[in-house]
Amino acid sequence: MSETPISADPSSATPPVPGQAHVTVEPLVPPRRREHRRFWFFSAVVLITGLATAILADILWVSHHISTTRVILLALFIPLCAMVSLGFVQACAGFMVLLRGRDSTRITKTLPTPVVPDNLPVTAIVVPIYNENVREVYEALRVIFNSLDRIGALSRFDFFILSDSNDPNKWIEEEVAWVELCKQVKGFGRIFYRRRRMPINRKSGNIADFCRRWGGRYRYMMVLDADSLMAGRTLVNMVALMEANPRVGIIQSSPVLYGGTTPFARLMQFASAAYGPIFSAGQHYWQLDEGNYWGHNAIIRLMPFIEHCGLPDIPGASGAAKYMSHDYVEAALMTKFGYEVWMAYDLPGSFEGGPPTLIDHAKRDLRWCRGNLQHAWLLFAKGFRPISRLHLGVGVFSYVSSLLWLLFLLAGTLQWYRTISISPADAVSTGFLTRKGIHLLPFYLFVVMMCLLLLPKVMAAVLILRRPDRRRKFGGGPRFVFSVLLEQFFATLLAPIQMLFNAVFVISVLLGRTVHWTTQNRDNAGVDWREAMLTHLSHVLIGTAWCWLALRIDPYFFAWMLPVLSGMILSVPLSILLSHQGFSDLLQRAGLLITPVDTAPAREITEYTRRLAGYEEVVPPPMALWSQRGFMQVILDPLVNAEHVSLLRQRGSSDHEVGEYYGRLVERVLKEGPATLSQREQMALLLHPGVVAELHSRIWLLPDSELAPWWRVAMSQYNLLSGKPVQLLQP
Amino acid sequence: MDLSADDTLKPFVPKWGSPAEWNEAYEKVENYLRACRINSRLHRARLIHRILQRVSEHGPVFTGEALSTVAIRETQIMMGEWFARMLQPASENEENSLVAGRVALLLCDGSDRWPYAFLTTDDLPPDLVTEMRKSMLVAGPNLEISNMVPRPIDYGWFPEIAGDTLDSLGKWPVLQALIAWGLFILILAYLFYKTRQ
Repeated sequence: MSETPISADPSSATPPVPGQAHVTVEPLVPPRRREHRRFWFFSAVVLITGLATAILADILWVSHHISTTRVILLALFIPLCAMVSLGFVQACAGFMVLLRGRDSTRITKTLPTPVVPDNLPVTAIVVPIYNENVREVYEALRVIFNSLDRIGALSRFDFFILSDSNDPNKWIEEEVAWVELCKQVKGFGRIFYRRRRMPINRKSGNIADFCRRWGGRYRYMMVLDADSLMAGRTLVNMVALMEANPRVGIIQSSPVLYGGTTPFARLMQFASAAYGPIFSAGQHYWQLDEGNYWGHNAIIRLMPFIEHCGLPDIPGASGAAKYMSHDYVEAALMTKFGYEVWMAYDLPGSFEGGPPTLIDHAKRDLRWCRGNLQHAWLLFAKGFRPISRLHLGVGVFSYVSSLLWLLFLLAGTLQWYRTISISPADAVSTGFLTRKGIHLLPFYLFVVMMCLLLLPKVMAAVLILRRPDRRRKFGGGPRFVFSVLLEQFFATLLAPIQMLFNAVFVISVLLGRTVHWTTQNRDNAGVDWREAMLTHLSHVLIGTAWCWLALRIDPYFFAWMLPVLSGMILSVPLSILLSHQGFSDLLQRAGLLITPVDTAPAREITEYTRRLAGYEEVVPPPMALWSQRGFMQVILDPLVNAEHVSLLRQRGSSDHEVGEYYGRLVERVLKEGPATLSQREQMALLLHPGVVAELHSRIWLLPDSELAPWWRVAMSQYNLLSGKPVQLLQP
Repeated sequence: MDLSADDTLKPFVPKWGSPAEWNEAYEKVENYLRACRINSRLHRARLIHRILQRVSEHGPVFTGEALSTVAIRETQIMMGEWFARMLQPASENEENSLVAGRVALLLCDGSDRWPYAFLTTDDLPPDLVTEMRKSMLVAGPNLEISNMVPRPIDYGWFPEIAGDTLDSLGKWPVLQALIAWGLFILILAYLFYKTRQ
């Protein structure tokens, strides 16, 4: 199984030297061609931004009057327009590539045929998890395992579940499910489980911990997210691509969203399936061998990763702040040290899950916002490639732009007010098609901006509509067109809400404040009214106040602002509607927002969905027991207890004598039940093998009268309802 | 400790202890065996019968211990002896042997696949013995340590200036609040001025 010794470049005669990639193989894309592409690409971005800026400047200064508000408006417009232009040009490039149907610069061109799995080195598949839905994570792993088994490549992969969970319930669930999964697929010795005692440095720390322990065993590691799903063939091809291209440090696949059941998730899934390919191809057009890494569904060459990608603390901030979005930084470091980073945009069989609701999406955005803003420190770091700086800068700006857009709208409101109330002459020139039909400039600018925003979607739709097989996969031509319109309708309403969310996130991060979320109260109907009201209250208030102001200023201005403001005002019902299962069912019955994942799903997705749907609903134990199920299971169940103790001892956990602190906790658990302990105290007990063994022994040996009533109920209920309520995974 | 069919069929009437104590002991042992996933009610009933019979044969308890405690201890002793016999060479440490035995039972699904074998010695299925002996919990492969340490990044001039400023602001929360409110007041003043020009 071991693949030592490992070098940065297996085919190179030159031994690897820390610091630089020493490879003799020719680059896949000649530098001249790469520069040529980038020149035209960014020239187009600058040209479009310049033209749009010139039109706006002309509108603002038509009365030859320079004011601070107008300067601010223009200054805010330039970066915003540049971002939109970048997306537009990217989509155009992607459209051209996909329309032509061939791309000589793609990494997959180097894929050897046939790929013989037996000739490939053993690769580690690592899955960092943190308090995830255990059943979903493990079922995805089972599907990948089976997929590899079907093509005879199972012996070429080892699986590592790397847990940082700090919820006792989740931790014990993970351990129990790991053993069950291994038993069911005969995966002992191939599927491994590790939970870190101290979750230092979050996900990147978890990966680094793996690298330190087992990095020497493997040439490559495939990083998956908790909701990642990949076909066995895709995994094998990615390893083969790494083998064929020793200069490559990272290959990022282009995952497609799957598994969406709520209307919001289905909207995201539709957008990802319909528009994703054109943007991915466009991104690849200019990135080429200096691509980016998204933190999952990617393969990494371990030796240079270990050598160069150990991340230091972030400077400036007091204390030891760590990078939250490590992936962009790692890609930048790989390219800095001479390794290529590619996006295999045309490699099928890579999937990921998405957030089910608007609020979940915002929560994820908050995490990403924090991580991306940290990258501002790296914009001027020495030795980074210009393209890496661009990746980092675009990441920062993708969140800052929300704040800028908000400021732009505010400045626009102020300018309109001043124009109407102070300079009536200007009002004539700034009206839409003008009230007296004199100037068409504002209309031109409107058309330009709408083209930049909408044409990419039109181009993506054209690519789908021109091929009957693709049309069918999206539910047929008319349904697809209607789905595009529906997606655009909701995207228009959602954009200002996301703008407000992100603007608040950026401000809170800059001020070092914490954003508080309402406690989720989820059921099958999705987001409840209380959660939606409390989360979106500020959006509704801002939207309503702005509406009132716009009406006061000018009804015409109100009409201009209506698309933006209606999203804010309707945010509560919108959030609820987009999480409502009934609406999702309605869309499905009407054949809307259908994607190839629904009509022609990969075998892995079918298997995953079938397995999850196949679980029987079991009556859960009373809530008092259910809320402490992990603790209950590990203390009561002789087999789970032994498994847990054995795992703790195996990794060398201290079995020292139970001290006074532990003694007090043990007595409290026995006399008052586990609910009286904090999560931290429970974790402290569960980390001590001696205590866990002692608790198990004493719980069963003590007479009922000396135990908390909770334990008496737990003992009498445990394993009562079915033969195996403890078994999380069905065979 | 042998559990044969004849033993379990012998009528067993406890000669000491109150019915309530024996009931509690019965319930506790049943719960424990159920927790061990002895899902066959038939086999569970036989085991409980045998365990309580052994407790009864030991005679009354004078240590002040509850009967249920003695019954559970008897169960664990029987389990320890059974595991030691199954997992040869057995661990010298009794507790380790008990842990290893329970893990082996879990890994080979012993109580499901051989529902009448747990704690019996007659006609032990050879497959069960083999399976339990080869069951081993391996959480990870052998370590091959690499030295992945944080590598310093030269951030250039920007972080020095920005970092110092942030550090200063972080140390002076009042100054931070003053700057934020100052900016807010400036914006308000600007709006006031511009809307009245």
